[in-house]
Amino acid sequence: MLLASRPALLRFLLARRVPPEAAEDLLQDLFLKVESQPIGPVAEPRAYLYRMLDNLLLDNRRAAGRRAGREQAWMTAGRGAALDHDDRPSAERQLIDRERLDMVSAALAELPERTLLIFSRFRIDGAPQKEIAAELGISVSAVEKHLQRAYRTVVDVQRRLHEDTPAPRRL
Amino acid sequence: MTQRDQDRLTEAIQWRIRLRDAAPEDWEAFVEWLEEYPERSAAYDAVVAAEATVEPDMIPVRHSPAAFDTVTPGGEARRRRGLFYGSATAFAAVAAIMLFAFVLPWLNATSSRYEIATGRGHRQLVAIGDGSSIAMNGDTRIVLDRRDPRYAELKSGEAAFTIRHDNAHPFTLVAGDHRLQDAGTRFNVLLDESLLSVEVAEGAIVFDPAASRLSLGAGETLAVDDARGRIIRGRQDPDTVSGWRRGQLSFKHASLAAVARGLSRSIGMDIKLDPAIAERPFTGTIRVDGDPSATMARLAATLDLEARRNGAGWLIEPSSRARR
Repeated sequence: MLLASRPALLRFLLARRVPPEAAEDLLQDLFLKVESQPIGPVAEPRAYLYRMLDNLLLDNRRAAGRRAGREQAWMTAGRGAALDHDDRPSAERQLIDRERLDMVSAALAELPERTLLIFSRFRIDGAPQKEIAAELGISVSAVEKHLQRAYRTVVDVQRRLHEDTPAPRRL
Repeated sequence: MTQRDQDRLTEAIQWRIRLRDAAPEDWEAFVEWLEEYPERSAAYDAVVAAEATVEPDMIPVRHSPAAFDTVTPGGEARRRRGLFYGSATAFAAVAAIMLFAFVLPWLNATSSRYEIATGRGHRQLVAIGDGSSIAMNGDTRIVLDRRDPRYAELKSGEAAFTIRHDNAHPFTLVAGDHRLQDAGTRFNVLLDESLLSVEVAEGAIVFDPAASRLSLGAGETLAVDDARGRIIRGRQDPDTVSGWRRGQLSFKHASLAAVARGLSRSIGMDIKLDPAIAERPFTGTIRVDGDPSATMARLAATLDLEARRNGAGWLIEPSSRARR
């Protein structure tokens, strides 16, 4: 199963702008992880592998972003989104981080009740869209629309923050 | 940002949402989408980074009464707490889904005041209009006024206030027998039995504007002990204010009984103390974002006490060595 999926997984990593050597390392990590942890029956093993690999890659990028404090060095090929390219001292960065969180909350507060409910079920509780749709008696595509709106809100806040870094200090 | 960038982000959002519970074919389609333009991978990263900033207590519940119409008053908090920690499939009642806070009609039916309460171990962010918000810690009760968004009362427990200042309508918080008035600010208030503790992270507040008129700026704290008629001013690094929101509980000359209540509030378990040690003083910071058993074991070891399971909660008592 693992071996058979290898080419597809590698292709995924390359599409995610991971340089070939780093991609090999990540696959190695993934396989070690899969072998070391007993997994119960998984409905869709291939999707499961993709998801695990996606998470692994994101963890890696996050860690690299923190380490480097600027554009991830090892993603040489990609003009990857800089998660955190900030050289300010940590106390100030913390303050800005908190401000950032407050801004996200404030932006979310503007959304309709139902959108927040759906977003919370999906993002916080981890409920699948199908389940949320059944609970609310609406279609899956309606659930997706709500989710898109909530995600868009959060993404827009982040983008605004990135565009005018250093973040304006209130008071 | 160009229209093309916008569209790319929109698509990346769609993928992020879809991939959460995707079939293998969806992943393959995602790979093909990525391969078409190299910039798409970065757009996906941006969406994931934004998503990662959203934490449970950041999704606000409107304080408009309509939002709570479907919630039965009373008894709900406990039930929902179980559900929250239980599996997602346990959710039966749609109405009860995400409102960990419940609203009780205020005693006087004609009044515009109403109460929001959180169960132990539960947090709730409440948006109170114009970008101001109240983050409630567990086991906390707050009264709001439907007609006056610039009023709140902390009945018990702990909350962090982020208040946008409006000179014409200053925000007033009533806590026990005291009043706090903001001057554009972030501050934390804990009302634990007769002890009121105020910490200002940003801006300033005025304590008891009609009486003592103490002014507190960023980094200043106030500990009010009404039982002993004492008010103590202190200082605290503004960055550590509302540590409970980041899984850190800090105490300064607090009784172990107060520490136990603080722990209960955060980790959602009943923590009892042997009366012999209830008044022991404690100063320090406790991390509570990990496994509760580890937290309790660490705390007990530090204090040379013993912590053991007591039904669904914990009992802290003198160590067996000390008792012998």
